[in-house]
Amino acid sequence: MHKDSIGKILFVAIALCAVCAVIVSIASVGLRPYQEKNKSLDLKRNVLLAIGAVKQGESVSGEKIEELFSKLTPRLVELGTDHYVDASPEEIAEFNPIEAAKKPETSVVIPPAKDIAGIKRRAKLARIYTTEDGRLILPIYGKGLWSTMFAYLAVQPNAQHTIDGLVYYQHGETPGLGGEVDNPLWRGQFVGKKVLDGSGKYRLEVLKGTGNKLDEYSADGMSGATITTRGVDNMLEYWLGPDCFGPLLATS
Amino acid sequence: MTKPKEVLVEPIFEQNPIALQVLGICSALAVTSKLAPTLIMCVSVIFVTAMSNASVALIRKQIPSSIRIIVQMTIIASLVIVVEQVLKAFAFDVYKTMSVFVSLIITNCIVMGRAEAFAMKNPVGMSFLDGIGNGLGYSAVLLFVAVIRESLGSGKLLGYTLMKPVTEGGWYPTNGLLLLPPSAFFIIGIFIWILRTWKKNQVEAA
Repeated sequence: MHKDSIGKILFVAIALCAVCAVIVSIASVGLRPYQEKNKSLDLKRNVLLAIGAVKQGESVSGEKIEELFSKLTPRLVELGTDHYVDASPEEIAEFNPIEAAKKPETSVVIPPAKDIAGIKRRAKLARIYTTEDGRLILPIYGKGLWSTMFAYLAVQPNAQHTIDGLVYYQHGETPGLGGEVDNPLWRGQFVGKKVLDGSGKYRLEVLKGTGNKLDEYSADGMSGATITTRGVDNMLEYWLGPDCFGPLLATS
Repeated sequence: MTKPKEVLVEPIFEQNPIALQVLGICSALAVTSKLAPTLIMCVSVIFVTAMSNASVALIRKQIPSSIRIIVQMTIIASLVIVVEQVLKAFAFDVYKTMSVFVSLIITNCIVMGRAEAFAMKNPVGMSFLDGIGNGLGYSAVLLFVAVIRESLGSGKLLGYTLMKPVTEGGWYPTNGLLLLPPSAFFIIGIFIWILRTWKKNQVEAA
Protein backbone atom coordinates (compact mmCIF):
# COMPACT_ATOMS: atom_id res chain seq x y z
CA MET A 1 0.00 0.00 0.00
CA HIS A 2 1.32 3.45 -0.82
CA LYS A 3 2.41 5.42 2.21
CA ASP A 4 0.14 8.41 1.53
CA SER A 5 -2.94 6.56 0.27
CA ILE A 6 -6.23 7.15 2.05
CA GLY A 7 -6.37 3.52 3.16
CA LYS A 8 -2.95 3.78 4.75
CA ILE A 9 -3.80 7.04 6.47
CA LEU A 10 -6.94 5.54 7.98
CA PHE A 11 -5.10 2.36 8.98
CA VAL A 12 -2.27 4.26 10.74
CA ALA A 13 -4.69 6.62 12.48
CA ILE A 14 -6.96 3.86 13.77
CA ALA A 15 -4.15 1.49 14.77
CA LEU A 16 -2.29 4.25 16.60
CA CYS A 17 -5.41 5.35 18.46
CA ALA A 18 -6.14 1.77 19.48
CA VAL A 19 -2.61 1.21 20.82
CA CYS A 20 -2.55 4.53 22.65
CA ALA A 21 -6.01 3.95 24.10
CA VAL A 22 -4.92 0.59 25.51
CA ILE A 23 -1.79 2.08 27.09
CA VAL A 24 -3.69 4.99 28.64
CA SER A 25 -6.45 2.70 29.92
CA ILE A 26 -4.00 0.29 31.52
CA ALA A 27 -2.27 3.17 33.30
CA SER A 28 -5.53 4.67 34.43
CA VAL A 29 -7.19 1.47 35.66
CA GLY A 30 -4.04 -0.11 37.10
CA LEU A 31 -3.11 2.92 39.16
CA ARG A 32 -6.60 3.78 40.37
CA PRO A 33 -6.32 2.07 43.80
CA TYR A 34 -3.21 4.11 44.63
CA GLN A 35 -4.83 7.30 43.41
CA GLU A 36 -7.97 6.67 45.43
CA LYS A 37 -5.87 6.16 48.54
CA ASN A 38 -4.01 9.41 47.91
CA LYS A 39 -7.25 11.22 47.34
CA SER A 40 -8.82 10.01 50.55
CA LEU A 41 -5.67 10.86 52.52
CA ASP A 42 -5.67 14.29 50.92
CA LEU A 43 -9.29 14.84 51.90
CA LYS A 44 -8.54 13.85 55.49
CA ARG A 45 -5.51 16.09 55.49
CA ASN A 46 -7.63 19.05 54.39
CA VAL A 47 -10.16 18.43 57.13
CA LEU A 48 -7.32 18.38 59.66
CA LEU A 49 -5.85 21.50 58.10
CA ALA A 50 -9.11 23.37 58.71
CA ILE A 51 -8.92 22.81 62.47
CA GLY A 52 -5.18 23.43 62.52
CA ALA A 53 -4.30 19.86 63.60
CA VAL A 54 -1.94 19.73 60.63
CA LYS A 55 -0.01 22.77 59.46
CA GLN A 56 0.20 23.89 55.85
CA GLY A 57 3.23 22.43 54.08
CA GLU A 58 4.05 20.14 57.00
CA SER A 59 4.86 16.63 55.85
CA VAL A 60 2.80 14.20 57.85
CA SER A 61 2.81 10.46 57.33
CA GLY A 62 -0.31 8.67 56.14
CA GLU A 63 -0.59 6.81 59.48
CA LYS A 64 -0.43 10.05 61.46
CA ILE A 65 -3.19 11.55 59.34
CA GLU A 66 -5.34 8.45 59.82
CA GLU A 67 -4.71 8.60 63.56
CA LEU A 68 -5.59 12.29 63.91
CA PHE A 69 -8.56 11.87 61.62
CA SER A 70 -9.93 8.96 63.64
CA LYS A 71 -10.43 11.35 66.57
CA LEU A 72 -13.02 13.26 64.57
CA THR A 73 -16.63 12.13 64.45
CA PRO A 74 -18.22 12.25 61.00
CA ARG A 75 -21.96 12.86 61.01
CA LEU A 76 -24.69 13.34 58.47
CA VAL A 77 -26.79 16.40 59.09
CA GLU A 78 -30.04 17.30 57.37
CA LEU A 79 -29.43 20.72 55.84
CA GLY A 80 -31.83 23.43 56.91
CA THR A 81 -32.39 21.69 60.26
CA ASP A 82 -30.30 20.91 63.32
CA HIS A 83 -31.14 17.24 62.97
CA TYR A 84 -28.44 14.57 62.72
CA VAL A 85 -29.41 11.59 60.60
CA ASP A 86 -29.06 8.09 62.07
CA ALA A 87 -26.65 6.30 59.80
CA SER A 88 -24.09 3.54 60.08
CA PRO A 89 -20.42 4.51 59.85
CA GLU A 90 -20.29 2.89 56.39
CA GLU A 91 -23.19 4.98 55.14
CA ILE A 92 -21.54 8.11 56.49
CA ALA A 93 -18.21 7.23 54.91
CA GLU A 94 -19.79 6.46 51.56
CA PHE A 95 -21.91 9.59 51.44
CA ASN A 96 -20.90 11.65 48.43
CA PRO A 97 -22.52 15.11 48.39
CA ILE A 98 -21.75 15.72 44.72
CA GLU A 99 -23.31 12.44 43.59
CA ALA A 100 -26.25 12.96 45.96
CA ALA A 101 -26.84 16.43 44.52
CA LYS A 102 -27.33 14.90 41.07
CA LYS A 103 -30.11 12.50 42.02
CA PRO A 104 -33.64 13.93 42.40
CA GLU A 105 -34.49 11.74 45.42
CA THR A 106 -31.50 12.82 47.49
CA SER A 107 -31.32 16.47 46.51
CA VAL A 108 -33.28 19.68 46.32
CA VAL A 109 -33.37 22.32 43.62
CA ILE A 110 -32.28 25.68 44.96
CA PRO A 111 -34.64 28.45 43.79
CA PRO A 112 -32.62 30.83 41.54
CA ALA A 113 -33.29 33.77 43.85
CA LYS A 114 -31.67 31.91 46.74
CA ASP A 115 -28.91 30.29 44.74
CA ILE A 116 -26.21 32.83 45.53
CA ALA A 117 -23.56 30.11 45.61
CA GLY A 118 -24.42 29.21 42.00
CA ILE A 119 -24.72 25.46 42.52
CA LYS A 120 -28.34 24.98 41.23
CA ARG A 121 -29.07 21.93 43.37
CA ARG A 122 -27.62 20.48 46.51
CA ALA A 123 -27.86 17.27 48.50
CA LYS A 124 -30.40 17.15 51.31
CA LEU A 125 -27.72 15.93 53.68
CA ALA A 126 -24.18 17.01 54.40
CA ARG A 127 -21.32 15.17 56.08
CA ILE A 128 -19.80 17.28 58.79
CA TYR A 129 -17.07 16.44 61.29
CA THR A 130 -17.07 17.27 64.96
CA THR A 131 -14.03 17.32 67.22
CA GLU A 132 -13.87 16.06 70.78
CA ASP A 133 -14.20 19.62 72.07
CA GLY A 134 -17.32 20.28 69.99
CA ARG A 135 -15.86 22.22 67.08
CA LEU A 136 -17.63 21.78 63.74
CA ILE A 137 -16.01 21.25 60.37
CA LEU A 138 -18.45 22.10 57.61
CA PRO A 139 -18.07 21.33 53.90
CA ILE A 140 -18.98 24.23 51.64
CA TYR A 141 -18.76 24.81 47.92
CA GLY A 142 -19.83 27.28 45.31
CA LYS A 143 -19.02 28.93 42.05
CA GLY A 144 -15.96 31.15 41.61
CA LEU A 145 -14.97 32.65 38.30
CA TRP A 146 -14.14 29.51 36.30
CA SER A 147 -14.82 26.66 38.62
CA THR A 148 -16.69 25.31 41.57
CA MET A 149 -14.56 25.86 44.66
CA PHE A 150 -14.63 23.35 47.51
CA ALA A 151 -13.67 24.18 51.06
CA TYR A 152 -13.85 23.11 54.67
CA LEU A 153 -14.78 25.68 57.27
CA ALA A 154 -14.07 24.97 60.92
CA VAL A 155 -16.00 26.92 63.56
CA GLN A 156 -15.96 26.89 67.34
CA PRO A 157 -19.07 25.96 69.29
CA ASN A 158 -19.43 29.40 70.94
CA ALA A 159 -22.43 31.69 70.37
CA GLN A 160 -20.90 33.67 67.51
CA HIS A 161 -19.05 30.72 66.02
CA THR A 162 -15.52 32.04 65.78
CA ILE A 163 -13.77 30.63 62.72
CA ASP A 164 -10.93 28.18 63.31
CA GLY A 165 -9.93 27.80 59.71
CA LEU A 166 -11.06 27.93 56.12
CA VAL A 167 -9.35 25.62 53.65
CA TYR A 168 -9.99 25.60 49.92
CA TYR A 169 -8.87 22.23 48.69
CA GLN A 170 -10.19 22.09 45.17
CA HIS A 171 -10.73 24.84 42.64
CA GLY A 172 -9.79 25.86 39.13
CA GLU A 173 -9.35 29.59 39.58
CA THR A 174 -6.65 31.61 37.80
CA PRO A 175 -3.27 30.85 39.39
CA GLY A 176 -1.86 33.95 41.06
CA LEU A 177 -5.20 35.81 41.13
CA GLY A 178 -8.33 33.89 42.16
CA GLY A 179 -6.10 30.87 42.72
CA GLU A 180 -4.86 32.64 45.84
CA VAL A 181 -7.91 31.25 47.66
CA ASP A 182 -5.61 28.43 48.72
CA ASN A 183 -2.84 30.80 49.81
CA PRO A 184 -2.23 30.18 53.53
CA LEU A 185 -1.73 33.90 54.17
CA TRP A 186 -5.04 34.86 52.63
CA ARG A 187 -7.09 32.16 54.24
CA GLY A 188 -5.26 32.64 57.53
CA GLN A 189 -7.01 35.99 58.03
CA PHE A 190 -10.31 34.14 58.53
CA VAL A 191 -9.07 32.62 61.76
CA GLY A 192 -10.74 34.45 64.64
CA LYS A 193 -13.45 36.08 62.54
CA LYS A 194 -16.99 35.67 63.80
CA VAL A 195 -19.76 34.18 61.71
CA LEU A 196 -22.78 35.47 63.64
CA ASP A 197 -23.38 38.79 65.31
CA GLY A 198 -24.52 39.12 68.93
CA SER A 199 -28.15 38.41 68.05
CA GLY A 200 -27.34 35.22 66.13
CA LYS A 201 -27.73 36.75 62.66
CA TYR A 202 -25.28 35.91 59.87
CA ARG A 203 -22.78 38.74 59.68
CA LEU A 204 -19.53 37.49 58.09
CA GLU A 205 -18.49 39.16 54.84
CA VAL A 206 -15.56 39.25 52.46
CA LEU A 207 -14.89 42.78 51.24
CA LYS A 208 -13.38 43.82 47.96
CA GLY A 209 -11.24 46.83 47.24
CA THR A 210 -8.53 48.40 49.34
CA GLY A 211 -8.76 50.60 52.39
CA ASN A 212 -11.63 48.65 53.90
CA LYS A 213 -11.92 48.85 57.64
CA LEU A 214 -11.80 45.23 58.64
CA ASP A 215 -13.45 44.17 61.86
CA GLU A 216 -14.17 40.84 63.50
CA TYR A 217 -16.91 40.11 60.97
CA SER A 218 -15.11 40.98 57.75
CA ALA A 219 -12.21 39.59 55.79
CA ASP A 220 -10.22 41.20 53.01
CA GLY A 221 -10.87 40.08 49.43
CA MET A 222 -8.21 39.14 46.91
CA SER A 223 -6.84 41.78 44.59
CA GLY A 224 -7.37 41.04 40.91
CA ALA A 225 -10.00 38.45 41.75
CA THR A 226 -13.30 40.27 42.25
CA ILE A 227 -15.49 37.40 41.08
CA THR A 228 -13.63 34.73 43.04
CA THR A 229 -13.86 36.94 46.13
CA ARG A 230 -17.59 37.40 45.56
CA GLY A 231 -17.88 33.63 45.15
CA VAL A 232 -16.24 33.06 48.52
CA ASP A 233 -18.48 35.66 50.14
CA ASN A 234 -21.63 34.19 48.57
CA MET A 235 -20.86 30.57 49.34
CA LEU A 236 -20.18 31.38 52.99
CA GLU A 237 -23.46 33.29 53.18
CA TYR A 238 -25.38 30.47 51.48
CA TRP A 239 -23.95 27.54 53.42
CA LEU A 240 -24.06 29.25 56.80
CA GLY A 241 -27.53 30.64 56.11
CA PRO A 242 -30.96 29.32 57.18
CA ASP A 243 -31.29 26.83 54.29
CA CYS A 244 -28.11 24.96 55.16
CA PHE A 245 -26.05 25.02 58.34
CA GLY A 246 -27.82 28.01 59.94
CA PRO A 247 -30.12 25.98 62.23
CA LEU A 248 -27.26 23.67 63.22
CA LEU A 249 -25.08 26.67 64.14
CA ALA A 250 -27.94 28.17 66.16
CA THR A 251 -28.12 25.09 68.40
CA SER A 252 -24.46 24.09 68.72
CA MET B 1 26.70 9.58 10.70
CA THR B 2 26.62 11.18 14.12
CA LYS B 3 27.87 9.23 17.11
CA PRO B 4 25.49 8.17 19.89
CA LYS B 5 27.53 10.05 22.48
CA GLU B 6 27.24 13.32 20.59
CA VAL B 7 23.49 12.87 20.20
CA LEU B 8 23.21 12.36 23.94
CA VAL B 9 25.58 15.05 25.21
CA GLU B 10 25.33 17.80 22.59
CA PRO B 11 21.87 19.04 23.59
CA ILE B 12 23.07 19.73 27.12
CA PHE B 13 25.35 22.66 26.31
CA GLU B 14 26.15 22.73 22.58
CA GLN B 15 22.58 22.53 21.32
CA ASN B 16 20.58 23.32 24.42
CA PRO B 17 16.89 23.41 23.53
CA ILE B 18 16.13 26.26 25.92
CA ALA B 19 19.31 28.30 25.70
CA LEU B 20 20.05 28.01 21.99
CA GLN B 21 16.71 27.25 20.40
CA VAL B 22 14.69 29.08 23.09
CA LEU B 23 12.02 26.36 23.22
CA GLY B 24 10.06 25.20 26.23
CA ILE B 25 10.30 28.47 28.13
CA CYS B 26 6.73 28.31 29.47
CA SER B 27 7.23 25.43 31.87
CA ALA B 28 10.70 26.71 32.75
CA LEU B 29 8.95 29.74 34.25
CA ALA B 30 6.12 27.87 35.86
CA VAL B 31 7.58 24.98 37.82
CA THR B 32 10.93 26.34 38.95
CA SER B 33 10.05 28.23 42.13
CA LYS B 34 10.91 25.12 44.13
CA LEU B 35 13.46 22.41 43.43
CA ALA B 36 11.36 19.36 44.28
CA PRO B 37 8.64 19.87 41.64
CA THR B 38 11.36 20.89 39.20
CA LEU B 39 13.11 17.54 39.64
CA ILE B 40 9.87 15.67 39.01
CA MET B 41 9.19 17.84 35.98
CA CYS B 42 12.68 17.12 34.60
CA VAL B 43 12.28 13.37 35.00
CA SER B 44 8.83 13.54 33.39
CA VAL B 45 10.08 15.54 30.42
CA ILE B 46 13.12 13.27 29.93
CA PHE B 47 10.80 10.25 29.96
CA VAL B 48 8.33 11.80 27.54
CA THR B 49 10.91 13.10 25.04
CA ALA B 50 12.82 9.81 25.06
CA MET B 51 9.77 7.58 24.72
CA SER B 52 7.99 9.76 22.17
CA ASN B 53 11.16 10.01 20.09
CA ALA B 54 11.62 6.26 20.22
CA SER B 55 7.97 5.54 19.34
CA VAL B 56 7.90 8.04 16.49
CA ALA B 57 11.18 6.66 15.13
CA LEU B 58 9.83 3.12 15.37
CA ILE B 59 6.90 3.84 13.09
CA ARG B 60 8.47 6.71 11.12
CA LYS B 61 8.42 4.77 7.86
CA GLN B 62 4.73 4.02 8.25
CA ILE B 63 3.52 7.51 9.19
CA PRO B 64 1.77 9.17 6.24
CA SER B 65 3.21 12.67 5.96
CA SER B 66 -0.23 14.31 5.80
CA ILE B 67 -1.10 13.20 9.33
CA ARG B 68 2.37 13.04 10.86
CA ILE B 69 1.89 15.95 13.25
CA ILE B 70 -1.31 14.54 14.70
CA VAL B 71 0.32 11.11 14.99
CA GLN B 72 3.17 12.65 16.99
CA MET B 73 0.69 14.56 19.15
CA THR B 74 -1.29 11.40 19.89
CA ILE B 75 1.83 9.55 20.99
CA ILE B 76 3.04 12.47 23.11
CA ALA B 77 -0.37 13.04 24.67
CA SER B 78 -0.71 9.36 25.61
CA LEU B 79 2.72 9.34 27.23
CA VAL B 80 1.94 12.49 29.17
CA ILE B 81 -1.31 11.01 30.45
CA VAL B 82 0.61 7.94 31.63
CA VAL B 83 3.12 10.18 33.43
CA GLU B 84 0.29 12.14 34.99
CA GLN B 85 -1.44 9.00 36.24
CA VAL B 86 1.82 7.68 37.72
CA LEU B 87 2.49 10.97 39.53
CA LYS B 88 -1.08 11.05 40.82
CA ALA B 89 -0.55 7.58 42.25
CA PHE B 90 2.95 7.90 43.71
CA ALA B 91 3.78 11.59 44.17
CA PHE B 92 0.42 13.15 44.91
CA ASP B 93 1.65 16.20 46.84
CA VAL B 94 4.09 17.24 44.15
CA TYR B 95 1.50 16.49 41.50
CA LYS B 96 -0.86 18.94 43.19
CA THR B 97 1.68 21.76 43.26
CA MET B 98 2.44 21.20 39.58
CA SER B 99 -1.26 20.98 38.63
CA VAL B 100 -1.70 21.77 34.97
CA PHE B 101 1.96 21.91 34.09
CA VAL B 102 2.29 18.14 33.92
CA SER B 103 -0.40 17.95 31.27
CA LEU B 104 1.18 20.94 29.55
CA ILE B 105 4.23 18.79 28.74
CA ILE B 106 2.07 17.87 25.73
CA THR B 107 2.52 21.37 24.38
CA ASN B 108 6.18 21.61 25.33
CA CYS B 109 7.80 22.57 22.05
CA ILE B 110 10.93 20.53 22.80
CA VAL B 111 9.05 17.23 22.79
CA MET B 112 7.32 17.77 19.50
CA GLY B 113 10.26 19.65 18.01
CA ARG B 114 12.50 16.63 18.54
CA ALA B 115 9.90 14.18 17.25
CA GLU B 116 9.49 16.19 14.05
CA ALA B 117 13.10 17.25 13.52
CA PHE B 118 14.99 14.17 14.66
CA ALA B 119 12.88 11.08 15.26
CA MET B 120 11.18 11.26 11.84
CA LYS B 121 14.57 10.77 10.15
CA ASN B 122 16.62 8.62 12.52
CA PRO B 123 16.54 5.06 13.86
CA VAL B 124 14.98 4.12 17.19
CA GLY B 125 18.13 3.92 19.33
CA MET B 126 19.51 7.26 18.21
CA SER B 127 16.13 8.94 18.60
CA PHE B 128 15.82 7.58 22.10
CA LEU B 129 19.24 9.00 23.02
CA ASP B 130 18.38 12.29 21.36
CA GLY B 131 15.23 12.43 23.50
CA ILE B 132 17.21 11.76 26.68
CA GLY B 133 19.82 14.33 25.64
CA ASN B 134 17.28 17.04 24.97
CA GLY B 135 15.45 16.20 28.17
CA LEU B 136 18.76 16.59 30.01
CA GLY B 137 19.42 19.89 28.26
CA TYR B 138 16.01 21.13 29.37
CA SER B 139 16.67 19.80 32.88
CA ALA B 140 20.06 21.53 33.11
CA VAL B 141 18.46 24.93 32.60
CA LEU B 142 15.49 24.16 34.84
CA LEU B 143 17.67 22.97 37.70
CA PHE B 144 19.93 26.02 37.36
CA VAL B 145 16.87 28.29 37.55
CA ALA B 146 15.22 26.35 40.37
CA VAL B 147 18.33 26.26 42.58
CA ILE B 148 18.71 30.03 42.31
CA ARG B 149 15.02 30.73 42.76
CA GLU B 150 14.41 28.50 45.74
CA SER B 151 17.63 29.30 47.60
CA LEU B 152 17.47 33.09 47.18
CA GLY B 153 13.69 33.31 47.07
CA SER B 154 12.87 31.36 50.21
CA GLY B 155 16.28 30.64 51.77
CA LYS B 156 15.70 26.92 51.48
CA LEU B 157 16.61 24.07 49.21
CA LEU B 158 14.50 20.91 49.05
CA GLY B 159 13.02 21.88 52.39
CA TYR B 160 16.38 22.34 54.16
CA THR B 161 17.02 25.84 55.43
CA LEU B 162 20.18 27.33 53.95
CA MET B 163 19.69 30.87 55.16
CA LYS B 164 17.14 31.41 57.88
CA PRO B 165 14.55 33.86 56.51
CA VAL B 166 13.44 36.93 58.46
CA THR B 167 9.85 35.66 58.47
CA GLU B 168 10.98 32.70 60.61
CA GLY B 169 13.10 34.80 62.93
CA GLY B 170 16.36 34.54 60.96
CA TRP B 171 18.50 37.11 59.22
CA TYR B 172 17.83 36.55 55.52
CA PRO B 173 15.29 38.90 53.90
CA THR B 174 13.80 36.67 51.20
CA ASN B 175 13.67 37.96 47.67
CA GLY B 176 10.00 37.79 46.72
CA LEU B 177 10.64 38.56 43.07
CA LEU B 178 12.46 35.27 42.64
CA LEU B 179 9.35 33.36 43.66
CA LEU B 180 7.33 34.98 40.90
CA PRO B 181 7.45 33.49 37.40
CA PRO B 182 8.98 36.55 35.64
CA SER B 183 12.22 36.14 37.60
CA ALA B 184 12.88 32.95 35.63
CA PHE B 185 13.22 35.14 32.54
CA PHE B 186 16.12 36.99 34.13
CA ILE B 187 17.78 33.80 35.26
CA ILE B 188 17.39 32.10 31.88
CA GLY B 189 18.78 35.27 30.33
CA ILE B 190 21.80 35.08 32.60
CA PHE B 191 22.19 31.36 31.80
CA ILE B 192 22.20 32.11 28.07
CA TRP B 193 24.66 34.97 28.63
CA ILE B 194 27.10 32.74 30.52
CA LEU B 195 26.71 29.94 27.98
CA ARG B 196 27.33 32.21 25.01
CA THR B 197 30.33 33.85 26.64
CA TRP B 198 31.77 30.37 27.15
CA LYS B 199 30.78 29.02 23.72
CA LYS B 200 31.14 31.94 21.37
CA ASN B 201 29.81 30.06 18.33
CA GLN B 202 26.29 30.16 19.79
CA VAL B 203 26.12 33.94 19.44
CA GLU B 204 23.76 34.82 16.62
CA ALA B 205 24.90 37.31 14.00
CA ALA B 206 23.52 40.71 14.85
